[in-house]
Amino acid sequence: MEFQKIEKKMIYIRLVCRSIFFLIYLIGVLIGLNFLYHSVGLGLFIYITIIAGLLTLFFAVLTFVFPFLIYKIYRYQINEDKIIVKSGVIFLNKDIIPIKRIQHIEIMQGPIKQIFGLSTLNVYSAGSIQRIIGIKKETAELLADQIKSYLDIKLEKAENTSV
Amino acid sequence: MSEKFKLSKKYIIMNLLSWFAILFFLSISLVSEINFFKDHITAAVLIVVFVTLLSIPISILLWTSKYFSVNEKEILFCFGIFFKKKISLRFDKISNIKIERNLIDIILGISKLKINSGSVVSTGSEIKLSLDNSYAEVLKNFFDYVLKNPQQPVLENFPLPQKYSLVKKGDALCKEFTTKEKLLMPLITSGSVIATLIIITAMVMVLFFGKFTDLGTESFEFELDLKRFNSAYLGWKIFAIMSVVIISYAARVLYLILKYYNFSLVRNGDQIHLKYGLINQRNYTININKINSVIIKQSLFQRLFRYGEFSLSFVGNFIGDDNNRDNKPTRALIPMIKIDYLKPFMQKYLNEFYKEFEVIKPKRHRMLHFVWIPMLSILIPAILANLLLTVLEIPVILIPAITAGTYVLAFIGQLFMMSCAGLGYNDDLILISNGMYTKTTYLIKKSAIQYMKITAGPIRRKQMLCGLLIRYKETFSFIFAKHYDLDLATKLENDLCLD
Repeated sequence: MEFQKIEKKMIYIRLVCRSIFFLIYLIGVLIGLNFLYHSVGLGLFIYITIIAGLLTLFFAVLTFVFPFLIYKIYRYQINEDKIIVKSGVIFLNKDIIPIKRIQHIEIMQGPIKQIFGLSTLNVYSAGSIQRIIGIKKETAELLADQIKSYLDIKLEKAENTSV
Repeated sequence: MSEKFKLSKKYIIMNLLSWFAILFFLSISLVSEINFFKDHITAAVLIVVFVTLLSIPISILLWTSKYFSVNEKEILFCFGIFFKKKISLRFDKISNIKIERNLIDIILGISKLKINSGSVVSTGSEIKLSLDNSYAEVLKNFFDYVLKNPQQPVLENFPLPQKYSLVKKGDALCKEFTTKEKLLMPLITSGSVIATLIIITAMVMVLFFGKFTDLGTESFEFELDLKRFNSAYLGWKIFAIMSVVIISYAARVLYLILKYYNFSLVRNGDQIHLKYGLINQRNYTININKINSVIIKQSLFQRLFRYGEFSLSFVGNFIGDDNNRDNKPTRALIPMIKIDYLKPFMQKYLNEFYKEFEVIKPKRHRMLHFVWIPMLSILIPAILANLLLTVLEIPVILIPAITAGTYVLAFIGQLFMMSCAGLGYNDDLILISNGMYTKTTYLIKKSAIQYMKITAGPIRRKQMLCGLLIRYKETFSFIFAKHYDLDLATKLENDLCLD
C-alpha cells in the first residue's frame, strides 16, 4: 500500500474547531487587556499588549494556516509489517507501530466529524495509541479489516515459529 | 573473570599505621640523642612532616597496585609499584587457605586471607589478601568449596566483594546498603539536592532580604525587599541556615533508613525478590521475562561520586508469596548502586540484560546545539526576566546580563547533553542514554517496544538528522534520543517491525 492522503474535508473540520478555540482566546485576551488598562502603568500595558499581539498572531496562523499545511503533509501507510503515519508542519514526524504489537482497533466519530461523514481510526498497542484522522467511515472499516488480517498472519507466523 | 578486585580500603590505614610506627621509633631514637633534638629541632620536625606526607600517597599507591582476579582455573594476584609481580595459582595446586588477624587487623576489622601452594621454595604465603572480615570468611568458604568440588563452575558461584554490596544470605546473594551508602544517599540524590537548594534559598531570602515589622497586638508583618541586603547578625544567620540544612539532612537519612530498611534483593532462578521498608513494606517478586527495561539514573552529584539509581520496569508483580498479581507496569527501585560495580551486579542478577553494545554518539551540529537551541531556550526566560524587571523596576542593564547568563547555562547544558547521549542496539536490546545534568540510561527489550516516532525539525532535516522517540510497555515511557542519522533510524524501524 502506498502512502495515502486523508479527506480534504478534514481542513474544514480543523478550521471550525480551531476557530471556536481562537474566538474564546480572543475574548479572554480582550477582557484581560481591558482590565490591565485600568490597573497597571502605561509602560507595562504597552509591553503586555505587544506580547499579547504576537501571541494572537501566532494563534491566528495556527488556526487559519496550519489546517491546510497539516492536510498537505499528513499521510498514512499500512503494510504487513507496520503502520506509518507522517505528520507535522515545522517538525516532521513519522510514527511507526509494528503490526505484531497491536492490541486492539477502534473507529471513532465525534459530532462534527459525523456531520462531515468522517471518522478516526485508533490503533492501540500495549503502550501507545496511533490515530489516523480524517478518513471516511467505510475506509476506516476497510483499513481495520486489513490490519486485522495482517495481525492474524503475524500471529500465525509467530505461533509456527514457537512450535 | 577479567574483573579485578581490590583489597579492603582499610589496607591503606594499616599501611599508614606501619609508617607511623617507623616514625615513632625514629622520633624515639632522635629524642635519645638529646643534643641532636636540641640543635636540629626544625630538621626533626621537617623529617616527621616529610615522612607523614610521603606515607599517604605511597600507601594509596600500594593499595591501588594490589588486586586479585579469578578465572575458571586459577586465582591471579598482582602487586608492586615499580617491580610489578603477578602470581597465578591454580585451584588444584592450593595446599592450604587460612585467615589470620593481628591486633591492628582486629581493630580495623580486616583479615588476611593467605593462600599457599605448598611450594618449599617460596617464603610465606603466595597470595596474601587483606579483606574485610566477612568477605574474607565468605571467600575462604568459597575456595574450600572449590577445592572439594573441582567440577563445579567457579565464575558462576564466585562471591563478589562486599563493596559490590552483595551479602551471602542462606543460599542466595543479596544486595544490602553499607553505612557509607546510607549516609551518601540523601546527599547525592537529585531530589535531596534540589530540596537543600530550596531550603537555603528560602532561608537566605527570609533572613537577608526579609523585613519583619511589629504591628503590636502580637502580630507581625513580613515584607520581602530584594534591593536591601540585611547583614545584621551575619554569623548567627549563617549558623541558622547551616543548622536547618544539617537537621533536614539528618531527617532525610532517617527517612531513607526507614524507607529502605532491611533491603534485600535475591535472584532465585527466573525470579528476583526485592523487599524493603519498615513502615511501608515493599515486596516484589519479579519474573525476569516480564522485565521490560532496566533504567540507570545518575544525577550530577551521583555522577561525581560514581553512584546511580537502578530500577527495573516490569509488568506482572506477584505481591508477597500469594498469587495476587498486579498487571500494571511497575518500577522497582534500587536507590543506590556504585557504577563501577554495575557490570558484575548485572552479570549476577540480570544476565539477560548484560550485553556488550557498540554505543553510537549523536551527531554534533554546532549551529543547532550551540546557537539555535540555547537561543530558543533563553527566549522564554528572557521574556520573563524582562517582565520581572519591568514590574520590580530593577535597572535595565540587568536584562542583557540575565539573558547572557541564561544563554551560557543553556550552552553548557548542551555540552552536558552531548556527553550523556548514546544509542546502541543488538538482537535483543536497545540502549538509549539521554539527559542533561541527570543522565538516564535505558536498556529496553526490543520485544517490549510498542511504538516509535522519527521526528525532524527544519535544521535537523537539512543535516539528515532526526530524533527518535520510543515507547515501551510502561506508563509515560517516552524515551527520546536526539540528533542521530536518519539512516540509523530507518534501520532501527525495519529492525523493530520485521519478525
